[in-house]
Amino acid sequence: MMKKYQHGDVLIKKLTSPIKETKIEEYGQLKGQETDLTDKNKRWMQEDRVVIAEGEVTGHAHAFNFDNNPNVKITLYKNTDRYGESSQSDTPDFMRITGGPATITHEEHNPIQIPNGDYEVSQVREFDYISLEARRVVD
Amino acid sequence: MQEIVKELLSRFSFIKERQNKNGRYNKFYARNGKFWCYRAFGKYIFKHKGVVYATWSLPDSAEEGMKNSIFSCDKTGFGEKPKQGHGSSYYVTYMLEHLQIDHVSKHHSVSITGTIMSKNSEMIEKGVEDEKHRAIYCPQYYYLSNEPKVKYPFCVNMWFNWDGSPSKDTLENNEYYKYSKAMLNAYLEGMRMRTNRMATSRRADKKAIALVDRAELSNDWSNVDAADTFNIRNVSTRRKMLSHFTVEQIVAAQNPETVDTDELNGSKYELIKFPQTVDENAPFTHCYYLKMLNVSTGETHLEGVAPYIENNDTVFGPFAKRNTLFSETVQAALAWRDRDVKDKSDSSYQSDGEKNKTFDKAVKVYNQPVALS
Repeated sequence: MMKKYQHGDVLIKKLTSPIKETKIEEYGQLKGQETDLTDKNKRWMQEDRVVIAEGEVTGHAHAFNFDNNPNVKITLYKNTDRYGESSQSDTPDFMRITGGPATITHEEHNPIQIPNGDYEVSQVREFDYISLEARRVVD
Repeated sequence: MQEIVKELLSRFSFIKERQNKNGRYNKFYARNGKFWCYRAFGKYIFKHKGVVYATWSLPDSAEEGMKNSIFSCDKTGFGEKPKQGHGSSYYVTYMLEHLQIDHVSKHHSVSITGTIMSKNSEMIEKGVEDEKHRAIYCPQYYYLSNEPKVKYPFCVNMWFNWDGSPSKDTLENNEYYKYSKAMLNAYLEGMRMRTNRMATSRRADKKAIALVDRAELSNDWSNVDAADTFNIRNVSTRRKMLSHFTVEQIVAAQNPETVDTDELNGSKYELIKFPQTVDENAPFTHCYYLKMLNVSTGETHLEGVAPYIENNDTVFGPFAKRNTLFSETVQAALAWRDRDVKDKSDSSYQSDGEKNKTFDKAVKVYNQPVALS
């Protein structure tokens, strides 16, 4: 049974084998992006936190704050499909946590702790019966 | 061109020589020097054993010309014989044009939800069907200008009478024609029904917009039914409805039916459905919503989930089998929402049909989160 953590609309699913051994074969080249807490120039880094999903309107974010996560290192990966184009969402596709557990927070949800390991990150979806298509839920 | 062909087919063709306006003969000898072709209308035309053939390029021999002919003609009519020519309906459409038959060619690209089993030429030849592929598409068709109501599809190995209608043999014995005709009939009937539905939908749309406009002006929404939200196609008017009614009110107005309840993650879930009126042409009959309690905020809310489609064999798009609910249950709805059923395989490429097959074999369960907030 897959171990899954749900934080609002964000799903964090534990991978049964390390990212590079399984997912490179399945999805193609992965672009790793280290976001340890001293690196402030990377894609998911903000001043005092690592953001893995952010609401476009509210600015609320699912994030790992520096204060809650001393000595935690989070490596985030964006999936590149077989045609070399990154998926549209800004949410990373995979995440590695070391030095954890890491605590994820959000303005509207209680924090949860996620132990060390490799994870797949995604967002829950909903079906819009007006446009007749599925879309990501953003809270 | 028809005149040239008919002239060639006459008993006295051997004593005639054609001249162009400049007095030069349009006569070409084939490379083996044994027979000659006319050059006319961008084609090479030659006669062999009472049959006239047209080719794109100067053939090396009569055998090669027959094999690569665009079409052939005899006294009964013209067309494409089996195992001759290019075996493509693309060239069949050309025949009427080149032989100057008074006709109108048509093709429509609007797709219709399929109920006919899709077959390619190979499947028609073998007499087999693939139940996984249902579709209705519009085959290219034509009608004669003096008989616009009778529509004929183009197909492989089609033979025409000299008036432009398909020959009796084509109508009765050509399997490609029979399949194309069934597809054309289904398409035209589908389009007729679609036009009617769109007219009904437009009337409902106009009526709902007028009611909303009136309610806005008078600030009296008592005559506006929340159920009309799905009838409104105009996004700004729909937004007005959504600003006045809550999603719960809009869904409640549809008289939803609870199809499954479950208690998971310390919360009660309900899967509700109501008849869909958004697009009657869509392959699903009901809209499905998951009603749940947000454990963090304590609020009840609704999330649309993909529809459940019984005996779904759709291969493409949002209603493909793998993109819809695998059963009419809360757990299936949650598994869909969380993308718990993986339809990817180890292979680097999968066709849409193969993805559905992988989905069939996948373990379909909802994995409850070990931590939820």
